[in-house]
Amino acid sequence: MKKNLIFILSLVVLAFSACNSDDDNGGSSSTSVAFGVPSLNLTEATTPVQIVFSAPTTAAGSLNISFATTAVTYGTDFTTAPAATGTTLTIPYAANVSSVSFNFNKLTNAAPTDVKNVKFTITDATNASVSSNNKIQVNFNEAASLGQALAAQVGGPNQPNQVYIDLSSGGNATALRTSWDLGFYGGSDFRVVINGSLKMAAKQLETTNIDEVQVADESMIISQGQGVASQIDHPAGLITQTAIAAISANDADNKVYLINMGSNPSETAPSTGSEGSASGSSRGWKKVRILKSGNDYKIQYADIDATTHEEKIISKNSAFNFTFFSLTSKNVVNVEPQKNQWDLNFTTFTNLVGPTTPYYYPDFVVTNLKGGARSYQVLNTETLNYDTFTLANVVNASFTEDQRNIGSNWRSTSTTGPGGLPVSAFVLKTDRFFVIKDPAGNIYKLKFTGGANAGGERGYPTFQYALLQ
Amino acid sequence: MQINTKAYLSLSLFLSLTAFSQEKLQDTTKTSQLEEVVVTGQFEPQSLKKSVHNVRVISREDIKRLAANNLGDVLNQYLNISIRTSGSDGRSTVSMFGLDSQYFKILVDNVPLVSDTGLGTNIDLTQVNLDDIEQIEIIEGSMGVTHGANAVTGILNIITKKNSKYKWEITASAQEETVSDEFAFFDKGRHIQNAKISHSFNENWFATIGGSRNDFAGFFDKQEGKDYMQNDGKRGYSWLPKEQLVGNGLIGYTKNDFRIFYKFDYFGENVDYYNPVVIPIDNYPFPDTHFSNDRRYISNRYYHHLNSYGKLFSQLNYNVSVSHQKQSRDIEKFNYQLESENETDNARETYQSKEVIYSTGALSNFFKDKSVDLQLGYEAVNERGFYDATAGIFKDDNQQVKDIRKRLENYDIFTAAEIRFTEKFSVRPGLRYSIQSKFEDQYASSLGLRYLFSHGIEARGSLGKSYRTPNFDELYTYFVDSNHDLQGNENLIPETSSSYEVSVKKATYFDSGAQLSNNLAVTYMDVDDRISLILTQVVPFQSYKYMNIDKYKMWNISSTHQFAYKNWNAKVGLALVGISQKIDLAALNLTSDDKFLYSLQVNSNVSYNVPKWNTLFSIYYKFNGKQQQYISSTDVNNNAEFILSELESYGWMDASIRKSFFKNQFEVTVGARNLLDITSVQLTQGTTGVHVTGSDLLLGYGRSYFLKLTYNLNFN
Repeated sequence: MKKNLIFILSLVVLAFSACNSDDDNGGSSSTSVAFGVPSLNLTEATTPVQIVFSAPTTAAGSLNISFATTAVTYGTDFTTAPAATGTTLTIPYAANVSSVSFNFNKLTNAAPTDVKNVKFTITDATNASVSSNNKIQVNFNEAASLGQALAAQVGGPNQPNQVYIDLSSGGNATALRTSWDLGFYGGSDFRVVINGSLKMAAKQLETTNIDEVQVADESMIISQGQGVASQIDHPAGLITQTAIAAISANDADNKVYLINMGSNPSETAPSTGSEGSASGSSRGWKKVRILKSGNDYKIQYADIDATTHEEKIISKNSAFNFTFFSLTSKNVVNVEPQKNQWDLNFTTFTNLVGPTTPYYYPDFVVTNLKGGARSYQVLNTETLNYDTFTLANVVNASFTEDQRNIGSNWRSTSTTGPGGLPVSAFVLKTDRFFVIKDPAGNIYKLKFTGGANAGGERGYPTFQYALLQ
Repeated sequence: MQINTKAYLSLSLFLSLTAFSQEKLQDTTKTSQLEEVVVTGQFEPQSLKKSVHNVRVISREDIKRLAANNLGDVLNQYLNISIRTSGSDGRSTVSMFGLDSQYFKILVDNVPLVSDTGLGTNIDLTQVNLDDIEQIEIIEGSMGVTHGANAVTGILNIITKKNSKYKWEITASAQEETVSDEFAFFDKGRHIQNAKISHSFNENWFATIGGSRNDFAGFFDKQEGKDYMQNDGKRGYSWLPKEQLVGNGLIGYTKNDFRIFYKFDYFGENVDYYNPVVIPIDNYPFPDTHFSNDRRYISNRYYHHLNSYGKLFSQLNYNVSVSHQKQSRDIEKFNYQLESENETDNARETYQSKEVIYSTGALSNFFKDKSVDLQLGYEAVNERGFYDATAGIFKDDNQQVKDIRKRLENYDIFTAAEIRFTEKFSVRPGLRYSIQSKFEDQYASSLGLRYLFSHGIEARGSLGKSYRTPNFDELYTYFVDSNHDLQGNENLIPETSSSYEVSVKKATYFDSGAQLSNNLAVTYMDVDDRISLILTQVVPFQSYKYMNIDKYKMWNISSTHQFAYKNWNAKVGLALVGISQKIDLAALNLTSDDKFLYSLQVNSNVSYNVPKWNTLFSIYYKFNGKQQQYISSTDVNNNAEFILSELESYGWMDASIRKSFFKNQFEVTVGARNLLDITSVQLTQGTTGVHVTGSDLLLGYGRSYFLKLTYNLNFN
């Protein structure tokens, strides 16, 4: 019997001691070094040039940088600190630092049409490997950015902001979505747009009498596939397809419109992973009638139950796509930068799904179609991806007249999970990138690098771009 | 009422019909007692033949032949039950007659087993370990009188072993199983070990202690595991990896008519969820790094059960159980850094939990006269439930999530009488009244009839009532803002069910030694005031609220046949189920077609024993016919409509060979599960508005093979 017991005990011990041996390889990647940005334009006499490490340095050391010049000479047009030996700089760094810099001293100025620059290259470093982003071009005057990484401050999961990005300058302008309701076109057409980022809708009435009392029409509300396609501005972005008809010189043709003002963003943060860009209070109803006033616009507006109205002259400004007006603050407000000074607008958006269903999207990216920017999407292939794409790969015919070519294509809100079942989650699509031509004709490639922060909260889009040349 | 009279009518009709047909059954074989003892729904353990209820038994032998480790492995072969597995949290639950696990009650030794969200209901079958089981008893139909709330489609009672004929009984086993074609020691497949020691100290005291470990390494299928870095949905597992630990012990004392036992059971489980979404972190100017929002579910269940049975005043029998049970499922969220393979930002919190204090007891044997027996019983339940806000949709008016913590109590009394008019004819009426803390008081009634004809024919008829109490989602869901209106309803009333069953069974014993048993049962069941999420408003946006509105009707004809001759044993069963559901879309003035939709199930098994080799060959097969159901949807113009959703038919086959060595001390079982290699079955449905639905239903992970080594040592 004893023998049997021992046998069993050893079997039991064997069975229970058989536990998982997770091998841990720690993923040790060595520190690497790079320039913080690939280009910069000199505006000051002395400009620090940043060199960054991927992780704090483990020991002190130094790195070597070589440079090449275009139409400038070391000592005459510029110097560096520490000083160069020939065409090489040696920059020492201490232990436990994440960045180090050297100073670029500009001694002469350049005329606007000059092409004067210095290109630096990190050649080697002690205790660190050199990253592929080891070059920087320092321009003596304004030149289109060669690219960088940017974040659009849409303001977190309720996305209260519209953010206008200018790729060539790295400019980043922000406006509250709720700051405006109507946009008056600055071009030759007389057209007025409504604020689709708030899910606004406009319905033409039979009357031309702004003082006639109106009632709310709940069928106008855009929600979960509800709403009327003809009551929103066509999402492709052509100025000839607005919900409000072209403003006529003949006042009798300019009807009153019933306006649903859409929804405010939520006042409180939604649960992690959700967005609350349209889950705030309802913004109510207005009635408007827009007339021509010489080469400007005249707006008549009131609450729907009012029997009197207010009027305002809105002047056209051809430097901008639109002059923006708020029906709540009753003022003209600044929203967009000048029309040739932005390329992309991060916003929420009322789109169409199918021909007839208005559908609201957070995390939308609109291309500045009216200002002359164009974009298209490229899906990665075996041979072509963001890293390998060059100017020679650009297909001009793909720059179509649709402001939604980026749209929501850069992200998804569900993915396939275990067992083939859909999982609701914010997903950055990493299988694609975008090509953008700005109003000045610079062509950039752009890839999104994130949409949520590390805590999983939505509304933190980030992207990288590079000039194609 | 109409239904009731109709059912009584058909009941009596059926009885007279069988009485009539019985005349023609002229077999010359002699009958003898078939001594299968059952306890479920009985006053005292008694032979299956004497039971007024139609009790189905899954024997220890069946469990062994299937090398079944958990309840899911066994019920795959059971007629009228199908199993649903979730890929997102790894739970497997039962579905009977098209109603989910909230309608089916699982008990251990007559005490309902706690789950994350229920008592006896919504049990994850993979969490019910089968190590120390004597047998499993199933009664189909509404069993509200004997088993209280939520015993709508039926009950399953697991009877554990509480004694041994040996002084020492020692068992150890190890089981290695492939998961489809995936297997590697430790990292792939399924690895099970268990050990148990039982000891009879003397003729009064008995104790047993055991433990087991079940490591399911997950099913990769087309997924790439946890260290995959591409964001194309391929990270993670098709079936989640899961590790379970079980420990249990029992100590019992028996003397004459007195018996007491205490049973303890611990269950621990760890399920890993690896998010298919890989999140890149912009590290410009350096290359991106990646992480995923992963999580693990950690479950712990503690089960204590004290039971005493004995005689009062040398006449009355009493049987009292007191039980404390707690199950909690924690969720630990963390970010898994793919480059460094480190976990960061770990945050653990309780996800769902349920704590129950439960007691039930009954007195019986009131009369000296053996032709009448009366049972008087009580059941007291005190449940404390917790739902983390993320376990459902629970928000306040400011869109902030909130946890739900509620206590539910019910105090029930029940009585049943068993009147034996003759040795052959018994009638059993029953009644339960339940005082509920949260809902209106409920009652349930039942009536059972049993008649033993000659030639081994037994006929039974029963009607039963039960009710299902609303769950937390149905009561407390809340999400209201300017675009959404989704509301639970605290004014819901329990759903009520009635079931009617007539069955006839014939046991035949041939002179050759062959045994044949035939069983035919017809069941009708309806559920009223069914709770569902109802569309109450369409414009300007869709509003939903849980309401008691839908109806469900089911009828089922099933027949099973068992044949044993020498070393052969064969069984075949057949069931045709018709289900009618009326789904009401209140605000749209639209109700679904409530015609009966039929599906067929067939199960069978054959086993052959070769005594010379000490070897048993068995094969199990179950066919699940096409299942249809109306579901609400919207057409291309966004108008609501009902479409027919169809689940294709599929078969499930298991087989095993078991051989014993060294005087049965050592046992080797080799076999295959899911021989027909089923992974998922096509579920066809239309498209709904903007979002396209219709996918495959996950059923299994394909054909897998197992090897089980068992060492049994019994000595005195």
